[in-house]
Amino acid sequence: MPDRPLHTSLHLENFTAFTDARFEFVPGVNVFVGENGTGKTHAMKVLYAAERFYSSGAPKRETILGRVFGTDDGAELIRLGAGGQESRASGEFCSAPWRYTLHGRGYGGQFKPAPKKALQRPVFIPATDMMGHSKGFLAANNEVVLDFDLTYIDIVTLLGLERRNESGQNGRASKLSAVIEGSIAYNETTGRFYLVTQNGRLAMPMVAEGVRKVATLVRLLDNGWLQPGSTLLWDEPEVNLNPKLMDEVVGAILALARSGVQVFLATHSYVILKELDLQAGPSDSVRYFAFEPTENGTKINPSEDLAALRPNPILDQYDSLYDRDLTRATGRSRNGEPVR
Amino acid sequence: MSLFVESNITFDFTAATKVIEHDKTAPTHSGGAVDGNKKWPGEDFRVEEASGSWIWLEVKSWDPSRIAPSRRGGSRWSFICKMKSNEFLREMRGKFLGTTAFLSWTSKLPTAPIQFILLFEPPHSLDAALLGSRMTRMRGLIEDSRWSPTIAVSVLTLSQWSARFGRDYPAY
Repeated sequence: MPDRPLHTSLHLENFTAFTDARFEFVPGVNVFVGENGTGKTHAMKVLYAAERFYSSGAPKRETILGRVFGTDDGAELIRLGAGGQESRASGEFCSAPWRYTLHGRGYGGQFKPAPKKALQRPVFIPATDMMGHSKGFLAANNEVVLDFDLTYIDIVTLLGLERRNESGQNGRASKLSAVIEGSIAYNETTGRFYLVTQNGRLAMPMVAEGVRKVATLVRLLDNGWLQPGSTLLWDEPEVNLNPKLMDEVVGAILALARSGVQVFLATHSYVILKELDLQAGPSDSVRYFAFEPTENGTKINPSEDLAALRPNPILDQYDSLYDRDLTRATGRSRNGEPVR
Repeated sequence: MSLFVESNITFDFTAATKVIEHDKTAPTHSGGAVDGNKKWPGEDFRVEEASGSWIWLEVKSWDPSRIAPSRRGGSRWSFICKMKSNEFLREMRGKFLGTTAFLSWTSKLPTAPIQFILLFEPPHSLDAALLGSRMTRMRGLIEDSRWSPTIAVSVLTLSQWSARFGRDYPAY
């Protein structure tokens, strides 16, 4: 066993958007950048499934991938146009290789050799806020089949569970608590979260969604699910978040990584990328992965330097905006041709 | 050839109808016409184009060749601090107002459209998002739909200048 549990690699073959994609991860912050539909969330979900298998309360290996992706049919995860070939997802977690094989008839999982002890649960924060929709959610999920994949069920579960906090992350949580201008209370009976401020208590559905995003992180820090050795997978942290708050959120992400939490982010936000670029110090490990759509599936281009990341559709779009803005203002195209 | 130097950038304004420099005391003054505005701030160059429109050009470039190696770090830092401050944006507005007031009081205010251009060459390249942000802030301080003649504000790097204006006015 290594000093801390880490995802070190991932290899996706004929899997969803990928034909043959390899990732080598850093222990700190791994950032996925790409257009819609290039598989950023899928890459994070397959990592989540692989790690979730080792933690308590995990679904059987035959079903965990389907549960995480929200599909009953393993064939749906095989890349379209793969011509009936097998699909494989494999990687290394905790120095142990794992592999999943998918074919038209179902799943085949292989997780050998397994880590020697059960690990704590990874944390996957979906793009859609769940803190404001927690009331009765788990009870309903036990009664009927809800069309929510396991990442949604799990995040609501973790938000409601107290785990002894050994992380030493309280300082960071306090700073984020100042951002949300309050603390978080939970009613176990109803499953409702509240934001407690100096002026009173607000049910979470009444709280701005961006604040709920930060509150989710505060809660996970407070109740001990983000500790050294944890994995945080956060899909589009920028959703509903005002750019002014991204400074603190990225600071918290880097603080978590420095404390020993391995982080995976998928983002479409220039501000998130730039904050990471500006706030990360020389000793921080941050690696960006460009998801490049090609005719032969998504290709992965890693880079430790944001400026060198190609393609970068976020920066490309700002370049385009700036270019068009200059054309309008100067009356000259980028080739010097008059446009008026 | 009509060459003008500002900071470490040389402009060839041969194709222009007229070029007026603000500061004839600058060590790099090329000997061209000056506007006589000694009371108020103004842009480095006012360039009348063949079409009759004007370019008011301010050049801000960090030039390490003119700074002793031992002082370059501090100079670079002070350049960055100045450029990212709101004081710098107010300075740009001050130059615009100084020129406008001078031309107005001397009855020489042009009637043709004016482009107010900041040619900005920082020590490190800046993302388009950040340049665009500064440009929007500058517009907020200078542009107004009621102004006549019309004013259009841009922030360009040297490479952007070369792409859009280099055919008429090469710079290097």
